[in-house]
Amino acid sequence: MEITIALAGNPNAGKTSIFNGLTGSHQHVGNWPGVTVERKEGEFIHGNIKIKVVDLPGTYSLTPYTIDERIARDFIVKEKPELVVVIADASNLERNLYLLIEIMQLTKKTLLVLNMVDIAEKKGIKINHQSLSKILGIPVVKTIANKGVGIKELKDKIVEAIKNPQENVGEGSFLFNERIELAVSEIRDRVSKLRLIFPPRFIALKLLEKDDEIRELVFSKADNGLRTVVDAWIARLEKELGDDMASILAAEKYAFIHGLYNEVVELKSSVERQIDITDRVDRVLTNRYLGIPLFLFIMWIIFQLVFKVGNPLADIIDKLMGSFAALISEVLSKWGASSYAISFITDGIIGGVGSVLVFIPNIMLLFLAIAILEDSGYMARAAFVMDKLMHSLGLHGKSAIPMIVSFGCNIPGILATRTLKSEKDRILTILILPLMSCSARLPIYVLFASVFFSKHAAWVIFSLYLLGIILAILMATIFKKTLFRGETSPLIMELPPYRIPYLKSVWLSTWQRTSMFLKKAGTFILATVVLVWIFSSLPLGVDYASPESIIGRIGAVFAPILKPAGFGFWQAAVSLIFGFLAKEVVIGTMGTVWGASEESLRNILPHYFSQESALSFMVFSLIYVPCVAAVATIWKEAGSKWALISIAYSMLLAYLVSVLVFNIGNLIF
Amino acid sequence: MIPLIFAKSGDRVRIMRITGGRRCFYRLMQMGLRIGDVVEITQGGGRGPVILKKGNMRLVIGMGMAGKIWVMPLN
Repeated sequence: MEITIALAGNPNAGKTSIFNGLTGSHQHVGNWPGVTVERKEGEFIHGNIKIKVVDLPGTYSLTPYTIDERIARDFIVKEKPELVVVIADASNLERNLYLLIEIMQLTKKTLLVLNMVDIAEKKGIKINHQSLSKILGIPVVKTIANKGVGIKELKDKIVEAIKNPQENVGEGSFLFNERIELAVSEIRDRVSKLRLIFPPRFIALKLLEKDDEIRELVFSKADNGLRTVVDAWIARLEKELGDDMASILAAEKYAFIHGLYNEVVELKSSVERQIDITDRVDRVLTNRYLGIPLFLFIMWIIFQLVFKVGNPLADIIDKLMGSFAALISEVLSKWGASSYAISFITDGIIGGVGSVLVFIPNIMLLFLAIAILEDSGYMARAAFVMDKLMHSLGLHGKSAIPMIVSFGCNIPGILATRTLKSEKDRILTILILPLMSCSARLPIYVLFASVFFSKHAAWVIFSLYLLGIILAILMATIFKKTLFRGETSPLIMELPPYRIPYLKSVWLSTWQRTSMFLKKAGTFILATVVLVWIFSSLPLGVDYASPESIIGRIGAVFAPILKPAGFGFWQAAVSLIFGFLAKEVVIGTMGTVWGASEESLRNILPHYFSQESALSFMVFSLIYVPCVAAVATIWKEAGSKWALISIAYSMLLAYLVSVLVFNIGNLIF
Repeated sequence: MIPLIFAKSGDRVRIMRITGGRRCFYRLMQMGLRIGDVVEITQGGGRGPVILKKGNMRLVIGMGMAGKIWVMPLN
């Protein structure tokens, strides 16, 4: 039998370490792994039970205040996991207990993990976990997940909790003052007749709290009597207790948590107050004047790493692919394969996919750098440092993170916007994200820049990234003034302590993202390249990829339109058309239509492009339509309307800017 | 009492009132910040978001929200 459990917890409580500790490498990430938002699943076998673990997004509570919180709440309520494991940061227990209490109102099956007990103890916080377990009536386990301490015991306790569910816990574990409890029980009894998916006591409390979503849900199904009763109770209690109902309930919850905290935590005052390393580092990295220059400097180092280290590795792969294609071609002709078949395999498959695989070192290094930024705690500082700038653009400080992630790939970037709680901020960010140049566009820049701007290649590529950012700022301002009038939502965010990134989590994150790219290269891009080969070879009898082939004719239709941008020939048009399927394919398609490897493309390209039209082509590739996968993600996250707007504006912008670049280039060069 | 936005780096302040909407109030509560808490301002001065520290926890509070939190400087 298979059993599902869920992991819940505050962001930065070490949920990912616990997840990695429990499931090891047996993980399945959803289609596109976001930073912490996409659904991660894994499994482990312990005590003959196969347990599926679902990693819920990190949240501070379960009010449907952000999409993350709604996902977590809905999963617990609708999919009814056998156990919800709540992971708490032992050094900040009070706040972490708030989420636990909210979850305990939703399900009886909970288990509490006190993680990072070593850090808590260093700070003089000692938690009596047995008495905490007794008071709450749920199992409590101590762990130091990043060092693997306590994971086995946690597995034991999980299995034990699944085998012997404790039915008498949850609802009764803490009570409000008598007057409130009276109201709760009356409303609860009425609500329980409606048979909603949420537990009746939870609904009763949310109704008293004036939670808009729950009110709408319940009142649409109940008769007017219920609304009258609820509102009467709210009015009466607010008058008696002299405050807003939501504040009263929150205060009571905190009073309970505070009491509980004092009961189970022993604070050792003898521990010296050490000078905090995080404070010292923050004094520099988040400094008002140094913050942004340092942010840009860190970005610059990353790009140096990606190219200076990545390119020699890419050359090795390129050479290997070349010899491989030669070998296969030789073997095939020995077997007497037709020239069509040999061309299909060497030009089509090996040539196409090979010119994508060549860039794996660059892309992997970029994902590695992003993983280190996330794991070290700098990512949150980046959001802080960028907040003022972002704010002046009408964006949210938190938009900086999706934007940075988008440099790796737009899709996790789009998914990362889920941490933005206002729909308006979210959609605005999603619309400009494709202007952040993702790693798939890098192969185009690397090839063109090295061929046409050999000595200044790094600077040309850097300027393209910068151009993307500038256009994003421009478009954000325009969208803000037209489609999204109004205030941006307030920023509240936690800054996790700095730490040395853990090899394992950095590696897992890098590998997950790179393997997504590989899968894409393996299936989607291969299919595209095969399609290009077929279109290039039909109708039967034409020269491969000649102007008479289907693909040549399609390209010829579009070529004149592209002429003002400097690349009005069918091969460029065809590459760009296929680039919509995935931007990695642009170079692959060029390889196929010219029947060339990456090495020989270097010799062919100067016959077709000048310096200025090469620049204009790179600019066009940067801006024009997000790839199909990104469009599909926007469609899913923001709706069809915004996906279409995204396609339309980026096409128009790409055309305008590249025509501009080409003509200015003509004047200068 | 002054709005948090006017608190300076290095100040220790007590949180007295939160005048934003219910959601602001809740958000701060859930993040572990309550009326009566004493916090240290790591970065303030009104030219950007505020960073404050309570125990082991550091929070960034945007300028808009920092204007709605009223604090009493303690030193």
